[in-house]
Amino acid sequence: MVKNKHPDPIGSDLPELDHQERATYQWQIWVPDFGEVGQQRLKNASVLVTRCGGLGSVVAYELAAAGVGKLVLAHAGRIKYSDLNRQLLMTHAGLGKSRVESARRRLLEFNPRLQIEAIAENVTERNAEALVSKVDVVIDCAPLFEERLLLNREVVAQQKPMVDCAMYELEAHLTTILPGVSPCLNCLYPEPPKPWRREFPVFGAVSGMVGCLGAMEAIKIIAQFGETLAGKLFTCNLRDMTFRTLSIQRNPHCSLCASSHP
Amino acid sequence: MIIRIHYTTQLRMALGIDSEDFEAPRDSTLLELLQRLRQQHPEALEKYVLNARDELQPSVLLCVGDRHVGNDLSGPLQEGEEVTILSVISGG
Ligand SMILES: [Zn+2]
Repeated sequence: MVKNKHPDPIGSDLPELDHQERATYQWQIWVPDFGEVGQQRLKNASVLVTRCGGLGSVVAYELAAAGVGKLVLAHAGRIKYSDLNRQLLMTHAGLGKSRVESARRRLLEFNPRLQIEAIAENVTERNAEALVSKVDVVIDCAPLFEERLLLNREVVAQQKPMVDCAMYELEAHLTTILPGVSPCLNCLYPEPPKPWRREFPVFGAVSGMVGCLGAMEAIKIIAQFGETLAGKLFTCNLRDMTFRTLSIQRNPHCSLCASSHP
Repeated sequence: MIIRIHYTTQLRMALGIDSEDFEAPRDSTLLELLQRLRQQHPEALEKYVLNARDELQPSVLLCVGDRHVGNDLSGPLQEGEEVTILSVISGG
């Protein structure tokens, strides 16, 4: 079991694995506290990934590889040259075409069993509630704080776990939000920092690393094993290979989570 | 007493250093330390950490050792402690 107690996002009515799935996932089913039940839980799970850029491409790819049943992908826009140093689900051949359709196609090449709902929109005030309502777990990979705070508001309201992945230059931050248990983003920063710009320095190897870590957090939440980053902020700087895990506190006066989950 | 300060992300880029050892009077509080740092690096500290009215910028997280201290800057620091100033980030 995960040590951070939270309502089980998946439930107990689990689908059987077929012969092909057992063969595909055999090596991860060998992980003792994951096992076949863990795989059934992944098969039964749905995850929202927004957006599918440097972080989200890798999150989605790893969840497709792990055998998550359904991915909801939200990402607007068309592929540009400047996406192609890190957005691993995009291709040169797809330049000028829909990002989210490229992501869907690449993921299905890898795992044709995967159900995908591809939505060519970023998170907005208008769609945030509906996007979060479609899934069991949210993975926030958005480059704008406004999108992150909207997702945060919705996961607190709908009591769903969210993995928050972020990076800048050679540094990364990662935490897991279990509403009512661990700090939400509004506990940590109630408004977007003024100097932040949507375009930022990034290597694909940095965003890809954070994407893998974020995918593993979601796998642990869904399969209910290991220990998540709820109540902790993982930070790293790949420039000097400094890795730290800091303990973070809920804000007892948080305007979002203090009243709904005291 | 000497306090080691770690700077991250945009603040690190603005200052051009990862960390520094900072001399502060014994029993300084976190607020007093930040005020002294602001004297040393006025532009970056005001923009990212502590404004001229001594209010924390809403996007900064302060840790003493491995512990996040929230908005309470009143606690005294001890010789040899390390303070990390995290500017939140959102790169995707
Ligand atoms: Zn909160």
